Amino acid sequence: MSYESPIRDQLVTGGKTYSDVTRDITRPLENSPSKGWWIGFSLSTVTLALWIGATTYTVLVGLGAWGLNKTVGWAFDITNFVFWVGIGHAGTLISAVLLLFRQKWRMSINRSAEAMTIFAVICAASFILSHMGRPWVAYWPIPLPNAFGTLWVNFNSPLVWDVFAISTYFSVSLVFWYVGLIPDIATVRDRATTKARKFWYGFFAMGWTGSTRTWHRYEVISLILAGISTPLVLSVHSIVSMDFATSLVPGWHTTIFPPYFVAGAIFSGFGMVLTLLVIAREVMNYKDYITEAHLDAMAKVVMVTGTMVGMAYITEFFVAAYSGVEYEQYAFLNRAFGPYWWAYWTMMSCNLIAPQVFWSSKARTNPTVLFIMSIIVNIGMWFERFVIIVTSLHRDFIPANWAMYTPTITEVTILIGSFGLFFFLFFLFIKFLPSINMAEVKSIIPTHAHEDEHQHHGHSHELATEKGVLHGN
Amino acid sequence: MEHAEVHIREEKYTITSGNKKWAFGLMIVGLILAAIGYFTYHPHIEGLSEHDLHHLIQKRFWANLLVNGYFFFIISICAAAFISISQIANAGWYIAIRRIPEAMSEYTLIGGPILLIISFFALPTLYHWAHDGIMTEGTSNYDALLASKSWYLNKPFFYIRMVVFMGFWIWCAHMFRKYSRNEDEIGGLVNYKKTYALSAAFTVIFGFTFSMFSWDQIMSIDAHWYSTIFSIYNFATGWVSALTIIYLFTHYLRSRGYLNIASDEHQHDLGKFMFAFSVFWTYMWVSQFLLIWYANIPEEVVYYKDRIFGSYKGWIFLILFLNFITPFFFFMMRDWKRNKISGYIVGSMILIGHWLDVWAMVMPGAMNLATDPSDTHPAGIIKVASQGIGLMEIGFLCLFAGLFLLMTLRALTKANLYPTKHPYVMESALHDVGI
Repeated sequence: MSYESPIRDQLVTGGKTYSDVTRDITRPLENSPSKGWWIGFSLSTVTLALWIGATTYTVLVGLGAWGLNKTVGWAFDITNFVFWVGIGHAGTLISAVLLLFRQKWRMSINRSAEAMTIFAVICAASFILSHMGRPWVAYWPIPLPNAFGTLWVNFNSPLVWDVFAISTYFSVSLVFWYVGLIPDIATVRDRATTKARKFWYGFFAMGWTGSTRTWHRYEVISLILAGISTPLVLSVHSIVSMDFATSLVPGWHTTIFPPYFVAGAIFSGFGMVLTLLVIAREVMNYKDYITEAHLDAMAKVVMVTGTMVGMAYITEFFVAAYSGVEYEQYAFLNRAFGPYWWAYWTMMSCNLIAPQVFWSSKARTNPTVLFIMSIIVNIGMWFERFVIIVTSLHRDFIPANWAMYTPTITEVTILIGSFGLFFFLFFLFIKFLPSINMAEVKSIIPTHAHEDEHQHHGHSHELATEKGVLHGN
Repeated sequence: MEHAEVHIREEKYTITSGNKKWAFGLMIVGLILAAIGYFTYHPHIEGLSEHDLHHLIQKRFWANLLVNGYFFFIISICAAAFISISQIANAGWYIAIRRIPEAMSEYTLIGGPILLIISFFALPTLYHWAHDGIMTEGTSNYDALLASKSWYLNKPFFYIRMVVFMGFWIWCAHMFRKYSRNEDEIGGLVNYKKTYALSAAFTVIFGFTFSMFSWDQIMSIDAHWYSTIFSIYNFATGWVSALTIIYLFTHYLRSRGYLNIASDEHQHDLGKFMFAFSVFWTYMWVSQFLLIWYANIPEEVVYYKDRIFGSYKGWIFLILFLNFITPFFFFMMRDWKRNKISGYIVGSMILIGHWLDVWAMVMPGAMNLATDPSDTHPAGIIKVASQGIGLMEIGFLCLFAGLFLLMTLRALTKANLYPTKHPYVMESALHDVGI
């Protein structure tokens, strides 16, 4: 147990004990769901049905069901894909990067953020499948020895790198999430009262005993997985950005794309984490676990990444002007003042300007402001991808080909429906799995047990001093 | 884990005669080497006139000054950025070594004016856009593309930007040191809070202004060329180098019996940072190179034509080896990050690698000779192949390294070697990296 300065915020409030933590967090699992859960779950199921309907319609009719044309061949599908992949990044950042940085505030939010990652990647993958037009040949981007002679995928194509990056990302995130769940699943198993529960939770707990050796293994594997996931946070969205940046299209081909996409992904991901957690801490009464200090930290991340993204917008605009390349210059003027100007300015105001409200510490800890801001961030980041994709394509190299793009009702339904898919999975998750990492939260609660632990070290008395006293003076 | 008894004590550093020998020795030897290099450099390149060759000597001289002036300045300002970022991230572990980046940032007081003077002379010599008449229509060397950049690339605006940006950074670095030293006197949280507020402002403003600073100082040497990631790449260069120097100073001071609360744990974490940000630097390098190489647009790819596919090829691969392979494989191991000897070896290799990288960013563009645009020279430049690393390069590096060392060591004597009354000092003293 490391020493903490008394000026730091408590990360678990309300004088919780170990058994309080277990009771609070297993409550939704062991009782029949609340009314709120049923309403939310039903709504998302209905929305999921919309998604199924619209996607099925697309598969049956073909991509003619969408508003694509000869000039704009990529629009809503890829916008939604990039949007959802980006959402996932906050989960990996919280669980992996913040673990490496020893940020303890991650402990009560990492579980739900990781779950969010997995569901978001599922949503993203669904757009890849549906935009292929012929999803039954979706295995073609995988380099399999095949019946077509020596035909292989084009390894030079960033789209193929994307297939590798995203499938790796999904697998590692899933393993990371699952490994972290094992001790908590074991807790649920030990508390189970029915045979079925005992069997299923016991099955997924993989014989966890809680011995020192298993804990040691658990910590080592967490660090190793964090080490593997950290480059993944960067690589996945970098490669997504290369889908655009390796091209010659003005507005797409720019070297800042990889880090700029990663910053944007973390920004949008934290937007979604805030949306979920601000609700969860109210509805599930987790205010002692997801405290104002957590909200404050997340708001700061939103502000920093939002400003980084804003800096990238300004850099792109500046360098286009500086470059002297008229096509670059036109692409950016067209973004800001062309027919899609409203999309550009929505993006600018949601992503760069709005997050500046978080300079105020009152705004950072006010759940209402945070919730509104999180929605603004989600909207802004969706529009960012729309702006990048559609405005760069719709006025391409030959003015005779210039066209406008408008989504059809099918496309809009798929987008709305994908939120149904996401929330459907999320509601199942909070019902059947502990949505806060009990084992880790227990390691940071300020209890008397804590003090006992310090007795084993040489500096016990000084460290157990009351909060509010500065040590070392 | 057993912790030894912790004593927060007031340590003062005194400059040893060995320190002085090294610092002044480097400066004197550097000056001599640079002078020999300068007077013995007689390039013979076919097709170039006597006048051009003479010009080349001047170019190499000023380019070397620019490389070192820029390299050491961005290191010292990134040391200030290290303080401000750690501060707003509420980091506690680094307090034991905080006075090292503070001391490094004191170099800006002299490094800033030096860079300004270098720029004053280097501008007409090295920067194609700053040549007389190049932006005036009708002159023989008129370049329409460069003329279209005159709203940004013009001398008054260049100097205004430089003075304002550097002035603000140097002032912030000064205030960080002042607050920190004041804290040793009075304790409490007043200075901590002031530093926090200033750090937030500095970090945001630094992010935007450093971008422009790197475009001005380095990117505009290749005036036709542009890359949006360039500033982040340059920040990575300064940041990794600053971390490396902090790491090396920590090893040195500990080996002399100072920094009683710093341990292998701090060394380990600094080593991890060096590892992580070396990978970050490589990520930036790859992002810039891969995208430009892949798209193969002539205006952009010309930058790598000289560097990775031209006479600088060997150097570029050496840079990648020193900046990526070395930290990646050696600093992956726990013990190598903690051990002094391996730390010195890997740290020096990283520093040499990043210095070479700045050299390779400056030289190819700076050594090109300007000529009137014609069918044979459409860009208005005659390419000059790499002149390699000679006595001039080594000499100026030693000169600046000696100066940097002297300034940092002197700054270290001005306050306690670690802030004794910082609210996180105990956290840092009991720091433990865990498994």
